Amino acid sequence: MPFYESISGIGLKNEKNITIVLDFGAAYTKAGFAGEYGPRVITKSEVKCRETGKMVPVFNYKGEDELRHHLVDFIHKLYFRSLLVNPKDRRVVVVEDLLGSSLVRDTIASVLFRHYEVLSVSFVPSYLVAVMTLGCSTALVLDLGHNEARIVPVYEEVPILNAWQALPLGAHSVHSSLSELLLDRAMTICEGGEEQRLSAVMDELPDKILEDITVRTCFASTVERSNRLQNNKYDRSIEPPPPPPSIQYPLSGSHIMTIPGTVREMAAEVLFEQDRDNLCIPTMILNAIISCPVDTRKALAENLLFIGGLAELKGLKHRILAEVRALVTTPAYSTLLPSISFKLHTPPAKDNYVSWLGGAILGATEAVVIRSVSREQYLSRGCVPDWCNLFYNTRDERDQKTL
Amino acid sequence: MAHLFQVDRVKLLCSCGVLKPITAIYLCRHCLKLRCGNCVSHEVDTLFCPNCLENLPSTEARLKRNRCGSCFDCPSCSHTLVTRATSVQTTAPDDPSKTSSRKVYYLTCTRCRWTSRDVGLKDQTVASGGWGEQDNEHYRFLQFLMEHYRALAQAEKLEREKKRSSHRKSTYLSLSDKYSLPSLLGRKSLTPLSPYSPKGDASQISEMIPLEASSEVEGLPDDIFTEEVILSSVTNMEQRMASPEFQPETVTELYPLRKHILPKRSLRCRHCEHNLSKPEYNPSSIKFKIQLGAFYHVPEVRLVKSIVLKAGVENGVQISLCNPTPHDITLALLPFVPEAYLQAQQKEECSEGGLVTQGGLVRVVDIPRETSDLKLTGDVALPQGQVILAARDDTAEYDDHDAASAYKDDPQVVAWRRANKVGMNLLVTPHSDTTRVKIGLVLRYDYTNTVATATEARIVTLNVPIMIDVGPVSE
Repeated sequence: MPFYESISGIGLKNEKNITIVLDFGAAYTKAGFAGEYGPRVITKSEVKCRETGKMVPVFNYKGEDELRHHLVDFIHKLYFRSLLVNPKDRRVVVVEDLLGSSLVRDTIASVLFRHYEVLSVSFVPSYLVAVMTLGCSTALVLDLGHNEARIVPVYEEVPILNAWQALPLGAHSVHSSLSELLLDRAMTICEGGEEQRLSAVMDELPDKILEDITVRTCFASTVERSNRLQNNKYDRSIEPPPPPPSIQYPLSGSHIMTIPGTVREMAAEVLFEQDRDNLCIPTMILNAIISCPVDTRKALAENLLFIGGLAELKGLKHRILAEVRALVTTPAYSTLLPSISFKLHTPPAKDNYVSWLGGAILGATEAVVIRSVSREQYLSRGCVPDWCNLFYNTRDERDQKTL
Repeated sequence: MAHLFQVDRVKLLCSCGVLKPITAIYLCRHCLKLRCGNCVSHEVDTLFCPNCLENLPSTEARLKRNRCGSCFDCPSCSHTLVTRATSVQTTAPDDPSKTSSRKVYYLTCTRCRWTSRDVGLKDQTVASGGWGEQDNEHYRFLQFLMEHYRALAQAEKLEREKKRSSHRKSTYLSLSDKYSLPSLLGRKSLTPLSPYSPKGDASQISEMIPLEASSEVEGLPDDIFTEEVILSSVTNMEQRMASPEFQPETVTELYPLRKHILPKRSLRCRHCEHNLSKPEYNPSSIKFKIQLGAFYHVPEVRLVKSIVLKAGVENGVQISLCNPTPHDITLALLPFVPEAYLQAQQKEECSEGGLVTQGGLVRVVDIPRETSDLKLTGDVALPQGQVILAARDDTAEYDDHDAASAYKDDPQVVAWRRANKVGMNLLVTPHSDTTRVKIGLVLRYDYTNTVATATEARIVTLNVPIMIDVGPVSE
């Protein structure tokens, strides 16, 4: 009955049962409470493997059972180490990727409902809620994640799904490019003081060190310098720009690595090198705009939003924007997108938790009551609503009557 | 302890299908079934600061964002900070020639030598407290944003209710129409009934000023191509993620972190809602009010010594059984057939589920059954017959009296007997194609239930399936 619903709405305001907002990421997971302005914790998405006892990524799984084990342990850690609340009888908002796997989504729902007996779960699309943090309703969202760079344009609060773009260009690809460059060029000073090539000392660098080097030393260079570096590759007569200073990086007690300045500069170049299909991040943006309806293109181009941890790389936003502006004047795009200007939003949060913040805003409203799957619904049906599930995605009776 | 007793060698099969050592298993005295961390529901019991061991009520913890009011962590290495006192000379404002010394306090890390002075924080005049909080720079905008979306959601909800009530009107007129409040809710006069109603309706919803996109983005700093980077002045990922809202990029932006508090957990059986483990309220106490660990209720099976088995022949393996309860236990070892056991359990579950629904009780939310590796790689010949395990008696150690004579033991079954322990010999034949022998057996024993409210017989027979990793096989 509606009247009682509004009483339960008061219960939402009752601080005792604030909604939990979870944003699972490939590298980092954000967790916190709805209505707050930042997540309580941003933690590495890693759990101790039940068999081997080693730390493994949560979303690195061989089968459904393993994923479930990972998620049970991981969510347990989130609740009992960071959030410190009883999971039972509390609503949860899960910020999900529209392009993510159904298995992950179903398993998250199963773990939350069955193991933690939460009151309700609401899956919200990360791109849409990221736009909510801006207070506007239209934006082209580029999510620079760990594994992939993904684009879903949102127009008047509707994600334009057919214009989605994704490329395996995420923080992970920057790490592998960095690793390659370092093994090729870096030198290490060994215990005795003699200098050796890094590749002579070790075959590969651990991910943790690669991430640390990327975060602390790397940056995305300017278009002009990048062009000169590229040209130098093919034509040695063209002078490369003077490299940025190199850095002494302690690898362990006995080894100090010298990271050459060019490596710092070039690690992120992989995001801008066109692959065999002539695709890279700038072309993704333009292709996404082109696949949108004509009326929406101008608005989308003037409302770009870059989110995800990689977006925090120094100079990256500037570089992407510069590349896009240069690219749009080339013959391939200039006829399709004439006289278009690009503008970038600055979200009211750090780039890596923008989607989480959107989820937290949504979770603090009544919408979370209306738009979530309750435990009873889940247990009686055994699945969560999905567009490809005909149980949910058929016209209901009332619609058919009117037609 | 885990290493000394090698608890991983002998594992119990929990009712949810997980194999765990006895130290990680609970026995629910009401369901009389084994439970483990995977199949019980965990609850936050009390909250406390791990440094000052002070209790925090949950309301206070929520206000303080789960952080202690007086303890701090180092933002650089996350070690606990200590308050250090020092005195400074100050000149009196009225008479510059007079100086007086004043005590001031600052925070310092004893591990990495970080101090609050490093980042330009002013020394405090009081020993504890006084350190302010950092403010989110977007605070005001986000506050507006939340209000805006709350109003929107509220408007949507009202819309829905209006629709629903009008829809209902057309189908069945009578009751709901006469008394229903919701049909009135559409009117402005009644909107304040609900908590988020935007006073002044739709006009406020549109008041929100969205963020503007800009065509200029901050590029790289000019000196990045020439300036040397001092690695130790740039924060790493852990330092940044320690304060998620601010994520300082350089060490000059680090700010002391309030210590994160920890919970004491209590465990509850999902089926009967009884507590399996409940800690004491006092944070410095490591005792429990309720602790139904299997370690206290199930006879502990242990391999007496580690041996290397010979392939293809019968090997003598000695196990010891220990009674942790203050009652005598009669027990027998039965063969374990995994397939039959699992089938029997499934049947039992079905009948149990039926009972619950018939009784009209709230249906228990079942977790998916786990499958463990129950492959047996050795045959075992178990001693036939029953054995009585003497009750646990802490004074028995000091007793010269020979306990063995009190029981008429069959030497075929009991190898030795000491206080509440009994040694038994098993004969293990490794399978031909294996390098490590795992055997299974079912421990059937009479458990004396001490629950005051137990309606059933006080002594019940329990079957506990056990997997023993006997050891490697030599050719």
